[in-house]
Amino acid sequence: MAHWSKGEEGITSMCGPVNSCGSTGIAVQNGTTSGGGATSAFEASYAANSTVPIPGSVQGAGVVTALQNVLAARTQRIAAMQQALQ
Amino acid sequence: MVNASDAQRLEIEKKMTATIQGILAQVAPIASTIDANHGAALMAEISNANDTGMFSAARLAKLMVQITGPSRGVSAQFIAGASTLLDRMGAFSSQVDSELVQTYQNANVTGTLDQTKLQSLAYRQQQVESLSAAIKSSFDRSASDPTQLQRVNNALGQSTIEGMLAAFR
Repeated sequence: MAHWSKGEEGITSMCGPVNSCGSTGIAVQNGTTSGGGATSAFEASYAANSTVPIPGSVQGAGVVTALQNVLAARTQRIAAMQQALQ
Repeated sequence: MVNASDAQRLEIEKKMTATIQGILAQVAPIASTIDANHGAALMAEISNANDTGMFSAARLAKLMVQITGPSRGVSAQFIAGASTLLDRMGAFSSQVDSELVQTYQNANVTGTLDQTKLQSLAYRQQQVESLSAAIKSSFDRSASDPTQLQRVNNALGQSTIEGMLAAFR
């Protein structure tokens, strides 16, 4: 499959300040490798921290707890990704 | 399949996280009012964003209008109207996304990127963002300004995004 090297920047730039693109999932595909080579340290860090606990059924204060848990997991993931990029 | 660069992906992760932080800031003060349906819908949006790398702006905005509106004194009529408008906006945005993907697929085949089409899509995406901002502004004022409901109703009567935008001016 052809690589959409021309498309990446354009598509990402259309996404607006808060990821305002629709639901087609074109801006980024999580956990994919680029170029078909060995998995990079970045990919490994992403995969190792890709489990974000998101409950299916919450209400009231449980929503806040769930969001806090999601944020904690995402913060951990971002830290790992940043470390891998250094 | 599109592979954003590692740095771009990190930035997207950061933006998504910031969006979730914003959601938390809005819902935390009114958490006790969030019912199971809206709670589940919100978790579904976050789960979807976690999988795809992005939020659906229209669906998220609709949810936030429905979750936070009542406690802000926004009428049920306004919430219903704004929700319908945001559904339409989401469909419009998805169409733009779809055509954008098609444009790049065509470029991969032909070797030529259709710049005219890209400009047209960028304009339409800007219209989506303008409509989103107009609905948000109207929502913010609706509790104290009865004319905002009329604007929403006028927008609902329009068949084009240009008409919807005009209804808010």
